[in-house]
Amino acid sequence: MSKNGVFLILPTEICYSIVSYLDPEDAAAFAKCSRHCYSLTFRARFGGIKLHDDNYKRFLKSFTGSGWLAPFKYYIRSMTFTIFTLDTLDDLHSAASVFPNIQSLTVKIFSFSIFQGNVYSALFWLLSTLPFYDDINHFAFIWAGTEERWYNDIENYRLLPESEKSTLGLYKWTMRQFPKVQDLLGPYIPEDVFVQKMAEIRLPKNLQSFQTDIKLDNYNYLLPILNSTNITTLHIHRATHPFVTTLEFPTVKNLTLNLNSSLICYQDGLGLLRDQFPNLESLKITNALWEKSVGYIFWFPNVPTITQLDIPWPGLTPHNCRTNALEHFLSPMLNEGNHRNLERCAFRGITYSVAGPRDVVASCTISKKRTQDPDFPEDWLAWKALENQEDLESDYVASEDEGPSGLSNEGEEISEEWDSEEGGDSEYPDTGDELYPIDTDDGSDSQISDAEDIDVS
Amino acid sequence: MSQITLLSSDNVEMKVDKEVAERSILIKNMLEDVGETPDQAIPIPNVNEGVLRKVIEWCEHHRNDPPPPADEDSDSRKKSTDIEEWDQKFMQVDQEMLFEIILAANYLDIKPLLDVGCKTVANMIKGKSPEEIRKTFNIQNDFTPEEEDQIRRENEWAEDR
Repeated sequence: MSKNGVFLILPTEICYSIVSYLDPEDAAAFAKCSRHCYSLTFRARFGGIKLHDDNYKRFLKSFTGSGWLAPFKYYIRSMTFTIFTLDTLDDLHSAASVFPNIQSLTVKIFSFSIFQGNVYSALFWLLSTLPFYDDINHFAFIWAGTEERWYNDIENYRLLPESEKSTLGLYKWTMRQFPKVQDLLGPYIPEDVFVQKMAEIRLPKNLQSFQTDIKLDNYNYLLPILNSTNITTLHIHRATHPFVTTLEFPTVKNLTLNLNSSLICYQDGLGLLRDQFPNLESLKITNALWEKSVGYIFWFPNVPTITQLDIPWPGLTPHNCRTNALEHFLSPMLNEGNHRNLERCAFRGITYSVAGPRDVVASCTISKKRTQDPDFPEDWLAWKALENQEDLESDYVASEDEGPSGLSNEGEEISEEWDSEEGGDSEYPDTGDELYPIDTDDGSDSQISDAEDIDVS
Repeated sequence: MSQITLLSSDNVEMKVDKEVAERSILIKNMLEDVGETPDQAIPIPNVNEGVLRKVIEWCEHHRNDPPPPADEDSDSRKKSTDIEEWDQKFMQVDQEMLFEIILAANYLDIKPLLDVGCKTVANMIKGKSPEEIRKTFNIQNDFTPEEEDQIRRENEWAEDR
């Protein structure tokens, strides 16, 4: 057999099959053997590229012309482009142009807050000239803004004439640092004109998922979504609560609200979602606190179309994880509200032990079989008392040793989600989540009440 | 039981039960096209005698296996590299023979044998460093220093699937 020929004599499809049996570490080791090995593993290992305005030219060289990675540019389906210097905004376009099959695009920009509206508006115009613009199905816009008056030379700012300290003046003054994008961004867009600009934005035809992580002075940034009929998933970071907007999003079925700075959820605020998202099926709320008037009061979002709910733990912290008590607490709540479609609810929180903070998740599958246990307390304060009662036999079900694989399907699923989205929140993300599944379908005594047996309004 | 004759690339004839030969989808389709058991030997031009005997040995052992599930999704399911004991012993051959069996299984369209072959190669890669893999399969490192640098920085620019 010829030197270096072992894998060269096999048809590519067979090599792909071999690679498909390798786990990521082994595939990475195999990739480092030779160019051919690298090419065989590329499709299985990578689906996206992440670049920033500092390094993109160096890395893109390999994907263009006769670069050694050029054949793989077609496998790139997602791109994250980070801009640290606004003058390089145009580079996003040239970088994206290299990869004709991009379907998911995330743009992160670090710049001055005052540019946020102009950049947001200009960005869609810039991207709309990409030949594959309409193929993009996920778009995320992440803006890390800095207050210009502090970031710029503060002494110089103080010396400015008062006229230049106005918003308009400040915009012009700050823009001087970025001559290359002056034409692209244009003059400062005041609020009344911004609404009009937003309404003019044409999102990609196939866009299904839209994510923002921006300073939301108002929700006019979401206006472009109203022109799109395909967007079913909306992910809003730094969301306010209540989620105040008169806009309605009838196409959105999956909503994630990552509240700004641990806002407190009120029942009225959650109730607004019913009108804003009339067809919502899945709701996830993160970084929220529950109303603290008498103890902590937990509200189920009263949105009757919801089937999947993912919300913070109903309390300050899940002290002892009394999941049995939680189940029985949920029972009257489901009785009172209109939750006939609710199938699954996950509660997330952080508990504290001598080992430090740990992420905990309780996954509840809502049973349709039986009614509540009359012996259990039905009100919130009683549940809180139960959860804090140290001598109550704990129904603490998971340990590190058991891990997600020893749990129900729900547990495993949540674990994956947690790893990808929330793992960084934990001080100990690698030690595994403690999962507290409450599978109530087996007719045992610890069941959540039966939605069919309950007179649900 | 009816038998057919296969002719290897080096012109060696081998008699084999039709049922066994039909583990190969290529031969099965060929026989169905002809409509009756052929009198003449069926040429297998890409497979030499030694390899063909090994392939027939595998087919004999697995003659009563149920057909593999149609069109398994190779990407979405997590793949196991578990190989049953008999197959493991069967695959204990030199590397050249192993790759010849894989090629023959591919040509003759014997998917279960092809899978066993691929799993065997994957198991030979698992747990090894790049240098060890190169040594095992006689692979020459042809990266330029610049390319090696880019690979070292993969985490900077590549997003996992």
